[in-house]
Amino acid sequence: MDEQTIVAGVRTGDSAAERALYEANVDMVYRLAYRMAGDDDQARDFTQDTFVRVFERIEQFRGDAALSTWIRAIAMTVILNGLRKVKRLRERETDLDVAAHVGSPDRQAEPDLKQRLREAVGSLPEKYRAVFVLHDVEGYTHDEIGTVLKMPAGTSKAQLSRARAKLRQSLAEFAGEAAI
Amino acid sequence: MNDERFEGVLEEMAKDYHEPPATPSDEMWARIQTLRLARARQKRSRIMRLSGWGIGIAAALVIGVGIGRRSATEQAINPDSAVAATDVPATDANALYQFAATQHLAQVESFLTMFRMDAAMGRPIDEVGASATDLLSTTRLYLDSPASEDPQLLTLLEDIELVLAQITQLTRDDSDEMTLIDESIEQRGVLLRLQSAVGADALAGAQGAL
Repeated sequence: MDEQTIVAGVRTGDSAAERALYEANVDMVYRLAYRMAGDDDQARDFTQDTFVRVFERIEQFRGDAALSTWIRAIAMTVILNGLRKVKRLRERETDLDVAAHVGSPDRQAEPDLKQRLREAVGSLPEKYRAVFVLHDVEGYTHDEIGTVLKMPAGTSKAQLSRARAKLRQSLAEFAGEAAI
Repeated sequence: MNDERFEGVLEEMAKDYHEPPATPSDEMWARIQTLRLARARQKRSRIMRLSGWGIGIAAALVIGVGIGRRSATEQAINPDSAVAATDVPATDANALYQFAATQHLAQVESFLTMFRMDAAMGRPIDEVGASATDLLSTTRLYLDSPASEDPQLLTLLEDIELVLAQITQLTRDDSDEMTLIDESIEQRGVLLRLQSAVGADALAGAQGAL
């Protein structure tokens, strides 16, 4: 089934077309969601929500870009909004945890450089992390990232550069060096 | 650490950063079907509820306007009966406005309850804007009506107007704004006051006045 047939089918409520659209894109969406969230439950929630929206909004797909690009843009919106919500909840929980654990700091073994870097990626601002994951981890071009995140390719480049600078700084602090 | 070393560590880390497991495709598909079904049901019941209340409010307003016109006509035909003709219908009209306003508050209450549930579940808010705009217009009608002569009702209508106006300005996927609105509803105690205003006693009282 080609893309046009699938889209036409989904618009008329054809369940076979819906399943075909899902099967063609679910790996890409789940993969992105997992890369961003690092958690299976969240990745599933984001993926499911993405496809619910895709089916609801299929009338809005004009065909200017590939269907997968349109779906990827919806997925990134769902993921970034979902992560913001999770972050807010965690911040509230952390406040409570901090209050409960005052005076008993948890000292863990020092992580190695790679682990430190992974943590630093996790603490990047969401937009920077999205660009980093899409470019450095998933291998998308800045043009593709610009389309998905609705910003010029130049902004994507600038954000990746800032993301990397933050990661460098984080590693420098970890290594106790003045500059890397 | 130099550039080369940094790039090396970065590249190595990126290879397995949050490496996804196999996609649980079938499980998610089943869940998506359930979610879609639930949303379709929710949408249907929301439309039915809103249209039901809308008809009630429209009917009450039409009766209220009719009473007003009748009193104006009677006054024009027989100026001597002006005092008697305006006294009685004014009471009727006020009672009608109070009754219709109470019904409107019930409608706002169910809308805001669903809005908060959607916000908590992170559901899209695409269809919220149109309903909020309708409710906002009706709220403003009541603010300009004799219903707003009750100071308690006036304050509640003003708070509702503010919250609904915020919701109508909400852009798609603006979760931060949604949280602010949610907090605003909470801080002003809007839902609690609505529940109190549309309680069974309040509705019965308004009906009794008719």
